[in-house]
Amino acid sequence: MTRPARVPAGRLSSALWRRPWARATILLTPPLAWFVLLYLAALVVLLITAFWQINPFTTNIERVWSLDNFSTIFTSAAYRGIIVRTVGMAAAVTVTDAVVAFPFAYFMARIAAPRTRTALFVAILLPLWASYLAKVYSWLLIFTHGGLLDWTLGRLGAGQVHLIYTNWAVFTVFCYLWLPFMIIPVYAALERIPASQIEASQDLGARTWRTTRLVLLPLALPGIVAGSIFTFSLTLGDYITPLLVGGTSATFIGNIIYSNIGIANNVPFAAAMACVPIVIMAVYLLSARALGAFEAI
Amino acid sequence: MSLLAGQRPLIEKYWDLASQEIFDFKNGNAIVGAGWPYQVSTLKADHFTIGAAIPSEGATGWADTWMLAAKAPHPNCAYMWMQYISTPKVQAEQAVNYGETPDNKLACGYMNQIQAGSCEEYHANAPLSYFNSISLWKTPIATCDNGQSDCVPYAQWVSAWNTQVK
Repeated sequence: MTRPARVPAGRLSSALWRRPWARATILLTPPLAWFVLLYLAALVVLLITAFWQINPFTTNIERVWSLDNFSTIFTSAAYRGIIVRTVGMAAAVTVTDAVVAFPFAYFMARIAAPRTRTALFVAILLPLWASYLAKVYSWLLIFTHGGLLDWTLGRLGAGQVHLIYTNWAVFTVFCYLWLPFMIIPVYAALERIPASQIEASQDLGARTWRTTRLVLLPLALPGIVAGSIFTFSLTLGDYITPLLVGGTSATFIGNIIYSNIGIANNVPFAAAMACVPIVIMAVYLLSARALGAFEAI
Repeated sequence: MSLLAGQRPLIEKYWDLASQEIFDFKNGNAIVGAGWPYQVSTLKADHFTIGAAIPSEGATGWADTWMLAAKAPHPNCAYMWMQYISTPKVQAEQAVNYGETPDNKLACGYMNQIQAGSCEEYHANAPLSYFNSISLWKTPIATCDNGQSDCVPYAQWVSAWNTQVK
């Protein structure tokens, strides 16, 4: 064994090599400052504002501490209904995307030839480059009276279906928008499973369904949970899709926040409402960590 | 509020953008709706058959206003701008471009020059009785005009709309 040759280095780099703490400080200070200032400070301001009120005449913020905003949210059946509706929508979108993404990701990771795999990757990633609004508006053209959906169903002789301005339309668009965010982590998780484990399961006599249920699914679960973090949180905070394709009952948490900031100028109430998805996501992330999701991101 | 909530089952969409209502009329998602003269004139310009009427109950309306901040660095400049924007010709251009009724009655002639018949279409020469049939927007505040303070401020109207109507 020979010692590694000392590379002649500048005075600065050798000084840093002798002081690892200085190296770490220089490396971490800019991103940490960015994170603290832009992320944490904004969150703290949000949390504090949620305990203030507005002056009903001028709508100026009055810095008087109270729990009124929170008690309005939790004592009003309408707001509780909106929270339940939002969480239900986010859960339904997550489950649907997981069910669609799993076979898709499995095909990509284990069956498709490299060229097909590349083509599928492009097909999944390409919509992410398109504008969010362009995608939602194109769904509006699909759902509209006499639109692509009606036209296709008419050709098939299946009559008409009224989807535009319903929560089914909101659900469909959400499932479409966030599907790539589910496929990619599930693909990553499935790709990592060694083929030998699947073969071992088959050698021991397990058929396809049993192998899927007892070997593939548990090993892919961290990937599914990682994907669900995206689909769940993105649905929880979105207000533009309900605004554009939703109907008279498409009021979600995001819409309440939007109308309180954009119309009523009631920032404290909007801040209190914004705490609801933060708490929901905190609980969600803690349970996701317990399921090992962060090893798959 | 209960009247609005009762109407909800009859309603397809509470539109947020004027373009949404135009889209819905064109595609047959809507057959009747509350709107601005802007939507009517845009649809008519696209050869869509549509008419507008003020119901016997009257209609609501609003007036856009120019505001001058108390701490504006160049208030004289702002006054000169307001003077300019109030002249008949500029008013006419704005009215035709945006589909609003101009404040300045003298804009009528210029409007017809830009677009024949637009003065009449945007009610620039309408009699006082027409404007009296419109209830103009006034931001609701807690203190009522009658000296009582049991009225409903604006933020509360918004929350009632979100929780009781929608």
